Amino acid sequence: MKDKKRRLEIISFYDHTGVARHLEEMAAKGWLLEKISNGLWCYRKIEPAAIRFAVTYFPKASDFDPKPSESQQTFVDYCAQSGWKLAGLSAQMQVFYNEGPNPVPIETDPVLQVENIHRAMKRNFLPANLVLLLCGLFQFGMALWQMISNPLYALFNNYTWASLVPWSLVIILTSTEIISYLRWHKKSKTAAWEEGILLPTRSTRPLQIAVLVILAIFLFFWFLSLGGGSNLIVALLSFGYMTLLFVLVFLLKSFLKKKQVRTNVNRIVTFTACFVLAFGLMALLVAAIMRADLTTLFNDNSDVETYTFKGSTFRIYQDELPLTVEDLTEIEEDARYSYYAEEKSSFLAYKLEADQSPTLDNLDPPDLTYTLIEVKFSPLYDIFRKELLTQYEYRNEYTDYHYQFVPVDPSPWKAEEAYQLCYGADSMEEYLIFWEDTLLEIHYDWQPTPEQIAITAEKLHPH
Amino acid sequence: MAREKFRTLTEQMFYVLLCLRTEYCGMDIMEQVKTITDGRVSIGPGTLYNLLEQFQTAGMIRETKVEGRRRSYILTEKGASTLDSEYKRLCQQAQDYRRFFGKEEAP
Repeated sequence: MKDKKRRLEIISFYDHTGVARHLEEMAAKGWLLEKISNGLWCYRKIEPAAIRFAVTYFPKASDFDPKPSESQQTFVDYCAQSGWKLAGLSAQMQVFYNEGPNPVPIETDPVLQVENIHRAMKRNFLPANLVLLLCGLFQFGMALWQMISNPLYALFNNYTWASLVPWSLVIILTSTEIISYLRWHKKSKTAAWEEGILLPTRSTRPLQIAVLVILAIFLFFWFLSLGGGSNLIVALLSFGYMTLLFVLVFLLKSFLKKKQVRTNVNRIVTFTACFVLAFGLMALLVAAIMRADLTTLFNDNSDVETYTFKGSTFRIYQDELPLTVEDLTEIEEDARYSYYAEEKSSFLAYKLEADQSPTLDNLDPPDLTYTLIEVKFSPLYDIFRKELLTQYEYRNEYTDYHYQFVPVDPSPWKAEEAYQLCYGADSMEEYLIFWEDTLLEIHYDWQPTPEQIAITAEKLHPH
Repeated sequence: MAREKFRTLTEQMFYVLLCLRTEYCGMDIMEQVKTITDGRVSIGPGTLYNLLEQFQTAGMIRETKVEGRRRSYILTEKGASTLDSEYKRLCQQAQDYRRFFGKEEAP
């Protein structure tokens, strides 16, 4: 039977009451905390016993210390004198246990204890959580801003949506930690002065576990939803990148501690390495992709051949398009086309961008491009409609003539609304067609006949 | 609520300073306080460490000897004066108590 075990304990750093209680329960089950190393809590098998634990904080300690400082060691000596043995250290946290009956507590002055805990929390716990909270708010805000400012792109982008979930969890977790601690500190300060008692901390462990479970479920389903192809590769590379960065920085810090490098040197080197590695690994990744021509990995389209034109190589795609030039008009037998389709889908909407263009060495055949949007969440319909109608407005600031979509008869399209793009007084063969739950932007290379319009409507909005 | 630090002393502060009228090693103070109070007052090791650090920073005690990690301390003039003020305050309180209850029925 194993006589050692390591656990990743989910705790709040300030939750001295919860940590002590948990360790007492572990000892009652026959597991005594031996050390805290690299974030893991190591236990050794003992005879189940009622052992008293106490968690204290040493504000001057740091997670970068190669070993406990002389003054911290003196603190440990004082505790040892009273029968309190050191079980483990983690940054400013010190865990002691006492096997004797009714030992004198390590802290006997609640006012001093609250002051001491607060000094320790200001060193590490509060700034770290605050920085993480600000990062979460920034990322969450950026994703929201992207959705508002560029809904045609962001609302179809599963990465934008996906980023909202973990960052909102970070915001919930860090703000709860900060608020819980500050509330405890405020109440404890009063209780210590007025009643001479130290209030117990309230554990946020259930919330932390809930957040981790939600995150794990979310990641599982998110990876499943990616299916395969480029989305999965990007997700795996991002995940691998973050994991590698975290592991390398962690190993470096541990290595420097092992080599007894001074606290400040370790701190500076680790932080610098974190920045350098973050950019360096990204550069390496990009370089590897370019060098190995891994760009093909990110291409979900079915390019079957390439051709060279004026010294450059181009791909000919053979994607399946719901509407082709051939559906609308006859084309010459020797016309060569590239059929390109890009589909994007989130739980809110589906978008198809289709482009049928002749190869550059035979420009005579007509081309056809269109974007089809199917709205799954009806409140978004008006956002997309407005975005499509105003998409050229930015150009109007720089030209004398204005681009504008002019209403035309929607009945040939069997649609609710139809618009044609005009540049000044000139009509262009670009249309916006709005059906009940579908929006279409289509560019013909010619003026479409009523029959061609009917075919377009039937092919792209069959219901 | 906030009080000026060391303007009044807690029982534990009082006895730590009282002990340090003679030079003592930090670790021995816990035992000494227990002895002079007949076990009535116990000071936890964490509290003692913090008190010694704060007294030293406030100039109320000074380090006299360092043997490995064993550090000895003694009261300074400032510490003695603080202790004396506290003693007088306690005496005043006791005197007030006696004056109030002295000729009356003790509670």
